[in-house]
Amino acid sequence: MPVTLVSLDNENYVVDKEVAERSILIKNMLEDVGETDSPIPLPNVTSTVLKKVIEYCEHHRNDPIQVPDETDDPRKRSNDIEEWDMKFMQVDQEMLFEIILAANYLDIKPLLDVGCKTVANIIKGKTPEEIRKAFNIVNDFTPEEEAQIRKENEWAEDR
Amino acid sequence: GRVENGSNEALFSRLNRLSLDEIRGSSRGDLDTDRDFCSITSSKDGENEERRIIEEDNDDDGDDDCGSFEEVTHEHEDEFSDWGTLGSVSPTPAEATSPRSEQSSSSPLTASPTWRRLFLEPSKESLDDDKGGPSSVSPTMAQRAFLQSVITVLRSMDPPPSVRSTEATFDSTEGVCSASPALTPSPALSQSYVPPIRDSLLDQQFFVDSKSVNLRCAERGSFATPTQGSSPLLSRSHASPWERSPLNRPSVEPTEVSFDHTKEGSSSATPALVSSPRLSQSPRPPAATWSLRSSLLGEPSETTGAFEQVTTGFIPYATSKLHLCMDQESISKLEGLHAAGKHLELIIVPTPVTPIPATSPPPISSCLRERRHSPSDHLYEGHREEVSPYEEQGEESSSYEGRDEDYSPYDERERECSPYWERGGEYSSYEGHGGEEYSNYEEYEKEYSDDEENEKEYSDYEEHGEEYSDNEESHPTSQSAYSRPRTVPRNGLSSILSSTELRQEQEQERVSIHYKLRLPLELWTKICSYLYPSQLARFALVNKTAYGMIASLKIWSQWFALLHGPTRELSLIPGILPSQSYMLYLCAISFKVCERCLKLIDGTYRKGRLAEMPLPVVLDTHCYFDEDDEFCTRTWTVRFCRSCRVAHYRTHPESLSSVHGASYLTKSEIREKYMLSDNQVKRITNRIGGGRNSRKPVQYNERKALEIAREEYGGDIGVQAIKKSLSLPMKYMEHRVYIYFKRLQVVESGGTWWPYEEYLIRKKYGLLRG
Repeated sequence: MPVTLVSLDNENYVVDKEVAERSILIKNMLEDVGETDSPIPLPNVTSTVLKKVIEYCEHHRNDPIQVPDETDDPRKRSNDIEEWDMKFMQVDQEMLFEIILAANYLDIKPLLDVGCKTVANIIKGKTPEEIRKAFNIVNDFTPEEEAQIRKENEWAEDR
Repeated sequence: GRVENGSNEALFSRLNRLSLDEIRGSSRGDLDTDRDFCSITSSKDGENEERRIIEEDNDDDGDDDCGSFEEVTHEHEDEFSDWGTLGSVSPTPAEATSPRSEQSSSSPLTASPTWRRLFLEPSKESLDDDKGGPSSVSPTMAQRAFLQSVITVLRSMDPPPSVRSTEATFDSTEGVCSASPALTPSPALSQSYVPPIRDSLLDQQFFVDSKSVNLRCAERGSFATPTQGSSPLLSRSHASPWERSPLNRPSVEPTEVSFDHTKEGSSSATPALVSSPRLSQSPRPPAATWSLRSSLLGEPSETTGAFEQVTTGFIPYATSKLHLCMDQESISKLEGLHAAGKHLELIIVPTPVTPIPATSPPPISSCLRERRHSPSDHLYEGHREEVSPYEEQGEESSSYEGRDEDYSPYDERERECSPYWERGGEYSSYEGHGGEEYSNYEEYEKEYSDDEENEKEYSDYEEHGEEYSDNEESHPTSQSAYSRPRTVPRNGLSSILSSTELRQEQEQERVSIHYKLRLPLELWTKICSYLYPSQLARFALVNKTAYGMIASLKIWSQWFALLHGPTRELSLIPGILPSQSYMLYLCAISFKVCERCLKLIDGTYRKGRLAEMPLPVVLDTHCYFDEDDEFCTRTWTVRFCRSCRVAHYRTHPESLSSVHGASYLTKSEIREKYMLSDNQVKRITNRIGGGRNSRKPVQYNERKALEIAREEYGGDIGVQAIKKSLSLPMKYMEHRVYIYFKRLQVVESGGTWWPYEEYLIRKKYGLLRG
């Protein structure tokens, strides 16, 4: 059964129910409402982002439901990104953040994980200045504060 | 027994002598076994002295209840030396590392089962022991007897007639504080045990002292300490000008209430800074509004006002303080309502910083509306007005500042109390995991002093600690040190003196924190779960928001537990988040931490074997945005221990250059250069010479030797470290651990831990001493 998703800018996307239900949010909605032809509004997702999300869900429509392994350290899994997902995430930074926000809103955990891993991998190996530059973050430390925190937070390898 | 009101001083004098003797005994026995901590902080500045008795308890239910009792009393100067005795009650790591800062950042009014046991359900033995005197009591009984004596004294005191109390409950889930009719006059607060209202951890109670407009909150079911007005002794040191002279009552009475969200269900209230009219002088716009109203049926009467400031943190991790601003009319109204025993409600309405764009209601059924905002969205909005907990450190220190006049100069304490290294039990226990090499701090100090590079810093910090809290008048909050904008010129004195004004300006320009990092903090927390500790520590340097977020991560304490075992506790620095203390400590000992397996590597027994220690291993770099990005060529490293390096080398073998294949070395040379054992050398099949008729010894191919060495020591980084000594980095690490505990000592003593550069400037301009 097709499901119609309506983006923030009122664009309709008709997708299979199976694809739409990759989103836990939509799945719960459909369960609550039952059989309906009413379009599902997604007011927090723009059409461009929704299109990307649908692309992801289409590709992973047959994936088994992910069971999180709480015992495993996520740090060791940060590089476990499939090749397709890695290419999928090769978007500009604004879109990357939008996808993460949309995945969080729509409750699509695998997509959220991939997005967060991608951001984490961007952070890795960068100096604070490079991180600021990469994410357009303003440094609001005074030089004294920064020196102090640098001293306190210095990890052994930084010496 | 009971004591007449007129002889309070005499009684306290007697009580002091009794208690000190008893607590001396307690410090030797009871506190060790029961894991109770009892400390007395005393000071003498001519008029005010304070005795602070804190009884803390690590109860079994793990809900971190804590109890405290605070009182101001007189005592003789010669008794001050006992502070050191009590202050050094930390003979075992368990006691020494009790999470005091968690408790200090939590409610001083909250009650633990032990507290209740001591104050509300004193055993018959304890009462008997009280009569018996200190010499005949066991340490536990002595402690109980002392505390019971204090309660007895408090109960015997007549409260000021005008003081009334109101009990309120605060439901933080709803944001509504409802108050029940007033309690009996003030001493009732010290006697009233309020039973739990709800089982919810978020239920809290506020005790409103309408005289001083002091909102106090205590954990549900807790025992409220005397209010400011209720105790003449408290009034002597803390009373506001208004309390001292009713005619000279300022028009605006600020009240400070602190909400501690570091632990679920706990809250704390600091004494109201009634004498400081800073709220009325603040040019800052209200960050939130509040209303305190009577909601008695049919008689709505509302008193509204504005929070001067909502210093919020990373709820639920940070401490938040709300400052209520109330004019005289409101106070009168409140008193009237209070006297009438009417129901009061404290309603906190946060003022949104940025307008939330309205979205049209979706056409789908209303049941969908509930799910429109994910849990993180809630958090996302809840943080609009929050600042990093790092700034709150400064806010919290203002309460320290307010009590500074009651504290004696640090130097005096420093002289009389045991010096830091006399707390040897604590320190050496920490050094124990670092190795016997430096278990004796003095030995370490001697060795470390040879390091010229660090000598200056070390000695500076030494003086730092001594002079720290001495300067009371020039004690701006430490907040100022963390809040100055980058435009502050680094010309020393002026920058410090102007920091407060600049900080206020900066707060006006404060924007919602999630905009600084462009994602909700919940998502950043998730992102951080993919980062190694060193990367987190580095990411914290990005800006204040990142620092606050990373410092509030629970993972730091979890890592500490992994490194040291679940039974070991860290002495937390008061005034900062517990997780921040863990972060600082882990950064200090980072040299010995393997980031992959999170084990503490002790290289002590293998002197000169830096290769055993965690070393930086090069990991992959990912290019996401632009292949030509300069970052794509950058490698990043994580410190792996030897076993993790070996495992990593198996999957990521390092290439050998052509240089390595040419030479042949003898067995002894191989052993010396690559630290290979005989069996490992035997694995080198590519060898020359050594035949029966050969005069030359067998020579082994160096390339193969290097391969084996890399396999054994985890890559080239391990091989290169074979001959390097670990003594210098070990000393550096131990110096950092020392600095951590020095800071702990200074802050626990009521001092302020200045940032190093600010400390130097203050020292230069003589601002460390009053």
